Amino acid sequence: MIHVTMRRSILIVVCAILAGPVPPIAALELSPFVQIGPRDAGGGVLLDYGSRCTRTQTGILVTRHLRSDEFPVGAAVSVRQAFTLPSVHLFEAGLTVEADFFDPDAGLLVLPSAAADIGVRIPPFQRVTTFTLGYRYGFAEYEERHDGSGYHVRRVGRSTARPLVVRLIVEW
Amino acid sequence: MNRVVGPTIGVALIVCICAGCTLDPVPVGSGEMLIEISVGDEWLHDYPILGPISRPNPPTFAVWMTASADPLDFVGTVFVTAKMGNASWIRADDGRPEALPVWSLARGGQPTSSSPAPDGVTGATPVDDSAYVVSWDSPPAEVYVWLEINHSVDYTAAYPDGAGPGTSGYSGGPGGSGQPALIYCAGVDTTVPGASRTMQLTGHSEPGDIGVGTVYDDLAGIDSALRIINHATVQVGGNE
Repeated sequence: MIHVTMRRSILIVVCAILAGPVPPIAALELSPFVQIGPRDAGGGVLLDYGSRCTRTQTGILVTRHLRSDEFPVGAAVSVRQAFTLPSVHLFEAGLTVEADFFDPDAGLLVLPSAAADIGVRIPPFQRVTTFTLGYRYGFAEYEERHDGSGYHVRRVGRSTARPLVVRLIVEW
Repeated sequence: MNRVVGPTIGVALIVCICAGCTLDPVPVGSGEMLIEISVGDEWLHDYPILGPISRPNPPTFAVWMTASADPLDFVGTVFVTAKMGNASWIRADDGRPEALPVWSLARGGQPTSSSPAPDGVTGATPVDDSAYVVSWDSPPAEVYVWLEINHSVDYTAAYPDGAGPGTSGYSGGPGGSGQPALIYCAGVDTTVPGASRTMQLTGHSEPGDIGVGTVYDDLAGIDSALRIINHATVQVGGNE
């Protein structure tokens, strides 16, 4: 019989989205130079609940869209499910779903996203600090208005994002 | 039990989010006009970064309206991509006159960093299909909608990299246009509810400079630029 020890802890997470835009919030036009650097960054507190093999991390992150003038700050509800092979517990695989909320001029914008990542518990802080590198897909539908001289324009669109995501998770 | 429930919920949420990635039809009411751009195979063009490394780059484009079939008979801009509208080019302080020359002339000059296009018609380049709804205080009977679209550095044999000013195929020099901007147009009668037109390719803009607003209908030497968009349509709101 296998005894599974359940544990609960609080995690401090710092994350950055690299090499990928979140259009229209920070879409790139690359002409003539590509701009490489952090696109979005965020941090917050997650509650961790898990056993030897799985961990569920749930919480709220404050996010900043670094290249956006329009929607610079938001909040994200994040749920990450991590899986670990007990025999090689240095590594873990994670699946994350997030809903990122912003309040632009046009009203509340929600950016749902899903991510898959690989995490490494960094020695000598094994079981304390986890570094993850993952791939995220997100999309948002948006609408903006412009009142011109005698005419009005309403723009409607869908934006998608497929950036790399880096996270540093510290177990408290 | 928790080892089963947790992963199941995670996977279910991911499936739900991905399944929702479709854009509903854009509602357009009476007295409004819907402009839709459907992206083509070349919407994202590989832009060289360093050596063999490149990344997909969306095009620069502008949508504007005129009162007649003359692209310079300007009524107003519907949308222009941010780099062009804000003149925020990185390697060209004076702008890119070859990027969207006809739209620039129609509006009275290329936007500058000190005099950008209005923020309300400027935005980040869509990476997928996009839609724009126009309404008027006093609708004109007829309106022409124009789309000028261009990729940077999409060189071909007819518009080669390294062509100098004054030579055949010059397209703006380093980091320039390559194939010139293409012009699409559709005219609609706004008094006919439900009227719909597909925007037709009418030609290309001046290859290497702002020019005088000439639209050249000879498309020789233009290849991948023809596939930047799949199609673009203009539709008058209301029932037929």
